[in-house]
Amino acid sequence: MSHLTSVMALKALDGLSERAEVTSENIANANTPGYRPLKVSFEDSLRVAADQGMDAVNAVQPKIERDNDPAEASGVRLDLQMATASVTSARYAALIQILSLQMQHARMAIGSN
Amino acid sequence: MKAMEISMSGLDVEWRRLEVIANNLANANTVSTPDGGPYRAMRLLSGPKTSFKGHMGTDASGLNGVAVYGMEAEDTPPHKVHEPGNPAADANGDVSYPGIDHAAEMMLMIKTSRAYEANLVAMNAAREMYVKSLDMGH
Repeated sequence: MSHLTSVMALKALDGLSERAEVTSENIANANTPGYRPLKVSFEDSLRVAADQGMDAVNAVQPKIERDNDPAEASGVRLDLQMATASVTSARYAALIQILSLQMQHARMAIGSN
Repeated sequence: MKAMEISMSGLDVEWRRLEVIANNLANANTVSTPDGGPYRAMRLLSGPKTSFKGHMGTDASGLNGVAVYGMEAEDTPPHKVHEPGNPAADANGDVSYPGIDHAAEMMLMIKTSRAYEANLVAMNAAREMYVKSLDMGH
């Protein structure tokens, strides 16, 4: 696995943990009148940066913006936010798994036999 | 992990909202209060706990969860019941009972309890992420 892949995985972990924070914020404000939910986007810019090389990937920052999804126009949709929370958590776990495997391989390579 | 603190603030606010609703229902028949007049239904006002920077910004520093802003009395008029024998009756023999909208209170209670549960789910998701990250390298 290349170094670029692990840097991308770390960037994705950053983005996902920020998404978890934003989802928590949205759910915490479920009963705030007139509250417009926030969302985090980083996947698209990460994909573009991946083609441009390491420096571009390093420069990627997760973006927080107001969610213009019409489903959320009349306030926070708790079901959608809860789904986002669990998807985010699952993806985070998957990325950790990938990084762990990579570390295992490195350990194996370093090992005496 | 800020996500867990944010969810905790949500749990706190929804819990307090539930207490206010319980208080409204418990006082549905309270005809006199220390302030005079029948009990008035209260509403908890809450909103995002943000700084000025948080309102402007598009970075994560503006995410501070939710906070209680205060309490507000509902201005539903009391309903009068003719009870001449009641010591709380006025000159016409009418007693003013709190104008509590039971259906609205129950609806708000369900909404509040759903929001509380959602905060718990978000908190557990964040906790799982936190625990998983401790697993890295194993």
